[in-house]
Amino acid sequence: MTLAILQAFDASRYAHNWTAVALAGAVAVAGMLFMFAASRLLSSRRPSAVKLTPYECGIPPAAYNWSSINIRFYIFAILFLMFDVEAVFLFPWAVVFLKQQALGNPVPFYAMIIFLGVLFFAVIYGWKKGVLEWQK
Amino acid sequence: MSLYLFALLAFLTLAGGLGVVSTRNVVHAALYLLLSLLAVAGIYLILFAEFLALVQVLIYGGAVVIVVLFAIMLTRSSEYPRISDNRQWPLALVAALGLLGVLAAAFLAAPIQITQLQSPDFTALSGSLFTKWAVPFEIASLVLLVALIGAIIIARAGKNER
Amino acid sequence: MSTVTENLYLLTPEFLLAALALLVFALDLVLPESRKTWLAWIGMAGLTALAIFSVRMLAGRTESLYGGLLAVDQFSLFFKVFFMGLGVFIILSSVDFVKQHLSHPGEFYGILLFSILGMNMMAQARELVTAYIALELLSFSLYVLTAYARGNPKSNEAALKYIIIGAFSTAVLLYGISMIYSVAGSTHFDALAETLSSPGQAGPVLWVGVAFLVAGLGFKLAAVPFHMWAPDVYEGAPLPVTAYLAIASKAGAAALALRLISEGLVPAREVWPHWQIILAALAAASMLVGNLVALAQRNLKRLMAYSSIGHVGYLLAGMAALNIGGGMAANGIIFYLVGYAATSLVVFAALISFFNQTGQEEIADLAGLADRQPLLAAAIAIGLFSLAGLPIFAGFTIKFYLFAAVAQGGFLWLAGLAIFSSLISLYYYLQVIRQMYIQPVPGTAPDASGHGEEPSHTASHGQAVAGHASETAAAALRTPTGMLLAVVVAGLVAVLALGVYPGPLLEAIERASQVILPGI
Repeated sequence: MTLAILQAFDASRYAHNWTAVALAGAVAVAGMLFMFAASRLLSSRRPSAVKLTPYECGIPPAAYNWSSINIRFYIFAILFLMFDVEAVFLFPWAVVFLKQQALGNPVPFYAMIIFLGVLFFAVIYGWKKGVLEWQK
Repeated sequence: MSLYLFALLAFLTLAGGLGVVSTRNVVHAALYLLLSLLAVAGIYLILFAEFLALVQVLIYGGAVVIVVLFAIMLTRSSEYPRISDNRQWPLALVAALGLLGVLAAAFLAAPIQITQLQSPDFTALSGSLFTKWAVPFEIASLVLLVALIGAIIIARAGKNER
Repeated sequence: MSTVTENLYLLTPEFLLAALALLVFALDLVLPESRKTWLAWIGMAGLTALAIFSVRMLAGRTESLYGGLLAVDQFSLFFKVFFMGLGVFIILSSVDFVKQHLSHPGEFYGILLFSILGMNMMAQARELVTAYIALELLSFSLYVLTAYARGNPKSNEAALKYIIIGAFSTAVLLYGISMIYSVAGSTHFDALAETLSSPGQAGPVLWVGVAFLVAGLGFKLAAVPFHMWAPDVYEGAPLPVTAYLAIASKAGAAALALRLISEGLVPAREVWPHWQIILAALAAASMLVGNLVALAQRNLKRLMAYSSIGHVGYLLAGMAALNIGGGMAANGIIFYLVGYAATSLVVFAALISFFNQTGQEEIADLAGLADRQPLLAAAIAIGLFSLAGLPIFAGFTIKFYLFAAVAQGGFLWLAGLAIFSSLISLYYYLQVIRQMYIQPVPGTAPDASGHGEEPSHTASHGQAVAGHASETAAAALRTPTGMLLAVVVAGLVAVLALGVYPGPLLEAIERASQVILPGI
């Protein structure tokens, strides 16, 4: 399974690109830290009981009620995970399948069709089982 | 230069890992995990494996940590639970250090032959993924299906229960 | 490129099995609750048809697909038919149980089918990554099945323990695979053997990688010292799932391990024979711990869990002997798996029938079973005698063959230890038989306190639980219903047949093991 196929690889260009990304990220983080630090340093701090309650659009805060709709979030998170994995597989497939088909090899196309079909079935299954309902 | 970057990212990975096991607050543990996983993505980037870094960020940072956080949120009783003291942590520490010793000895005793840094051609990688490795790929889809169905069976309130 | 896909049609049985499972799930969405048992029949019919189809299509062929990723040969064919047959019998045993005690009956059969697909791929894999993903398919299905009795806290606890330890063991396995890859440059079993044989390349990293691989597979097999999850998981899971875990998951992991060792480690036996000692040590530990701790068990499922750990010890002893014993040891392992499966099916089917009628699973609850239900008692007794290794039953032939192979493979001490632990196991099997045949039927003493697990809320039509159990216990139990009766009878026939005339089976096994260990 030796996979490495050397290409004309331009390491400096690579570093160049990713340094730009890192710089962008660093600026974002620095900006955020600056804002936090500024608010820490420049604001007055006089907490009172009313000021410390969580903000809920100005209305008095309701009691925590995390009872019966919780599980739906979890199923959605799992569904998201599944389709995230599917998206990750779609990236390389998009690069390859047309060229393979042109070369006379239809397998990549149908392989992905089967994969998509299985996950599509998963959604249908979830739909029929009622996990996509929002109300009880 | 890449050595310094690697040192920084390795430090972040290990710090994240240590944070996961040593913090008292379970949500903090999940976030330390996120730090650790993103640092690993950075290490992939240093190794010129862009696709792998993308996968790491998308799946681990994007989906797995979310699922972990959801699970934590959904199972807390009244407020975010503190992780209870595990009395066996000295034993676990000894076992972990022993494992570290064995692995370090193995890796240092006979160095792996170092190749030139190379980047796998993305097109070739994708090509082989869907031709040679098509069967494991399909099985992976079935694994996902089973996981989803299992989650629905176990987590969903039945019609005649609860 | 086109050569890669030339032989794709050889995988048709797997495609059809996946389609069958998806069909079961799809039908589950549309069938009304009362007709869900049809799914069990569809599953069984499909599996039988696929087994026959596989034999017709693949008999006598030895091909390697995808540049060595998968092997479609006699070895994999044998195990495919074995797993599918096992699936049929497990479904047969579980129909009543699922109807009475479990919600979501349709998905139960679908997930079972997926796990069989996982095992089929494990038997076919010639390469570590494929083996890993197939193992994951099997493991995920088993995690879900273990958690199936949702209202039962023991089931949830068992599933949680299984998932956490299973995930950890998978991580260890993957780390081992990555270390092997870093040295060998390839994840094929052949490449592993090649790299082990070439002294320039093999090094500590490779050995540690193989050790991690053994650890990961040891978890799945529940070998000592990786066995801690097994008793709790077996006890908490619903009974048919326990049966499936005890038989099928072990068989799947053993098939994978057998091919891995035969193609990956045995060819390097001149240069690196040390893996034998590792496996022999694991075998000895499993035999001793499994059988000794079983002496103290009070719950039937836990007893079967520890006894299965002991049996895994015998299997590992056979695997250690693969170096020199070669063909005989491989035959012995496969023969042992088949015999063990038949015997365990008998015992578990009888236990399921007992549980269906009384909801009890402690050894003490079996008191007086010989008077209450002679057929069940006889079935359990024969099964346990066979597991202990008494003659005319399958257990004797399989143990004789395997221990002879181990002794011939140079591990005389291990064979002796195996015989000694078989003797120990006889004691606790006899305990159970004593309960059935010698203990009196519990009379009017309402002894049925809540020690047996309460089935989930959706349980019991007309099933007396707890308070009235003494009445039904004292009364004669019904004979097992049709399907369980069929399994018990078929199992008994197999046990006796294998004990007396194992010839034809041994020929098929010989053909299978010739493929992975040619010429040894």
